[in-house]
Amino acid sequence: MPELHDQPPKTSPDQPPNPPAETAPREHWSIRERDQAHRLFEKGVHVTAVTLVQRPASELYAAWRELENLPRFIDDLVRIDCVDDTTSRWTAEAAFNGTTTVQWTAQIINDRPGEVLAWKTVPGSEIELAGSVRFRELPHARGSEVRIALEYVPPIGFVAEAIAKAFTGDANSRVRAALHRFRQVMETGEVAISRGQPAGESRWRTDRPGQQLRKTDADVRDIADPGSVSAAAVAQVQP
Amino acid sequence: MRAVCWHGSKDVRVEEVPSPEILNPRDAIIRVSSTAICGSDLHLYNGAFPGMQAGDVLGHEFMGDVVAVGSGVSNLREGDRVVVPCVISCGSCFFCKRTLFSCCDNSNPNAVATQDAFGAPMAGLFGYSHLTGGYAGGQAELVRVPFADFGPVKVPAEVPDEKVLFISDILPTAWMGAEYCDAKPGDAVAVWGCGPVGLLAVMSLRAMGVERVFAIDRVPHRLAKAETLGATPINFETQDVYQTLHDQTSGLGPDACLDAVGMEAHASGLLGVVGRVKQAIKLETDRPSVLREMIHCCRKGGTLSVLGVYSGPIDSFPMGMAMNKGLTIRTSQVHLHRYRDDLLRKVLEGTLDPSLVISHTLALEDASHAYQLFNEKLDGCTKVVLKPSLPAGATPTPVS
Repeated sequence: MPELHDQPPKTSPDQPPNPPAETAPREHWSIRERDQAHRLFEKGVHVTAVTLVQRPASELYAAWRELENLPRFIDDLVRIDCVDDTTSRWTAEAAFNGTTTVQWTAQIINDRPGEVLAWKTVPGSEIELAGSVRFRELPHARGSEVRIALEYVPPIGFVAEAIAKAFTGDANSRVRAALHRFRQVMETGEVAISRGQPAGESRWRTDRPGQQLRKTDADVRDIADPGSVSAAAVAQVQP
Repeated sequence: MRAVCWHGSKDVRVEEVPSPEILNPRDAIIRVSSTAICGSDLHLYNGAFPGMQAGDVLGHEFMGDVVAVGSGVSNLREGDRVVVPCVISCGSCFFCKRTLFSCCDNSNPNAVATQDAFGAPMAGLFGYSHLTGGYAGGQAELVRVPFADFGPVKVPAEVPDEKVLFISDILPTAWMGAEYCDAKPGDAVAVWGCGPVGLLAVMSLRAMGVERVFAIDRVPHRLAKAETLGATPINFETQDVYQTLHDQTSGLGPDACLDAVGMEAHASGLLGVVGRVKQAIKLETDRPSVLREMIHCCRKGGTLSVLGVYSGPIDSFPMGMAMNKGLTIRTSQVHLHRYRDDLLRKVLEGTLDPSLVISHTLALEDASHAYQLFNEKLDGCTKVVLKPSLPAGATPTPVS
């Protein structure tokens, strides 16, 4: 089966390689239909997000290919340890309580430098998960498009899946937030934060929306350390 | 340190808060020498703008001395005297590259939330709600300035604060609005609102060579100030704005209309009352009576330059009138870094003197009183500058 995470971005008209059987051939497919036709898993949560970054696609790919970098952009990930060049051990916070962690081993299933990177859990994993990120430089110096697709099937059956589906909206904003942070680091060398700033006393104050990073400030500072992110990628980020 | 904190509608307190720290490599910490209350702060003061949290430090117009810089800031050093743009811009995103600095993609930590609200992430602003990033503002002794290697502009030591402070917001805002009017020789421009931005827009239009500028307000001392800057004053409580403008423009209407009022416009008549009620019961976030009047008055094919702050949807927007008259609407938060250096040059040369709009200089400690003065336009109040160095209760100093 052709895989979602195996498809380089195509320009329209764009027909999925395995169109739904009941549908006659068409000129145009929506991104949703295309992604749907390319999904690896039939069940579970599926989210996508896209952004535009003012850096060459090769640099963006290089920063992403250092898998150890991903937890710095993707909030739910605690750490990634590379076992070998294509195998990695991922640790994430469990989706709904934030205290227990889930672990899985992923294999890179597609790797075209400067274009696409895709990964998938090995068979028998506690959680089924696949993800890909595609890079494409746009004409007229508009920048590089970064398109991310993630699918996962939660570990315990259909109840968890129903809950997970209800949280797709949340997963969507988390993926968007991750891409936003990725763009911030690649373009500016740091992640904008306003936590930890002066404020008057008030019992009504809540955590600042959109910034409930369960990371320490030291981690956040670390992201902005040019040595910690693909050094070549960040070195040139000077306004 | 001491800072002006927002605690709710018409509840502003000067409190002891923790001092800011460098959080990112491109940060700097500024010790504030002067800060001002902006007309847009009054939208927060009146509880009209969403996304505030009790305790938030207010203020986006400020200047002062650099006391610390992060490892990524090489163009500033301790002791430099700088004016800080109210808009936080990274300088390297899609939008900054196109000089759309107030649309910066990277400066708002709450970008996802604003994307949900506005369809796109908004840039960060100092002290202007969590929609624009939740950054602590400049009405304080010390401020953390992100992307300090890109935003702040150095000013010479010998120039008084009052001359250059407004490069932080209202002077570039007014100048940009005047530029949006795209006035040709012979054109007439009408400016709604004679607050600080409206007055500086009059000043900017005159400096650009626009001969006929009309200034519309209802506060006599503000209209008088507009007149001294070269505008023809129109008091909307005693004069019919449409009739007056048409009479003065050979029946065409002004070639461009500039909104320096925004979401809390005061309108006379039934629509004005309906607008206030709708806003009070949250049926409508904004009162668009100035926009309506501008569309009504503007000449066919003319331009509306909208500087006033709006936050949400508006009702009874006369789109048919705008469409059939072929109007162009130009609007934005100020793309400040685009005008910063040029305006500093003009101020240093003496071509522009924005300090003319200042009516009061008070101690930072007296901010609560200052907000009330400015909001209710008491004591001839046009613009308040706050100084952390002044002792509490320092005598208000009205300037003519």
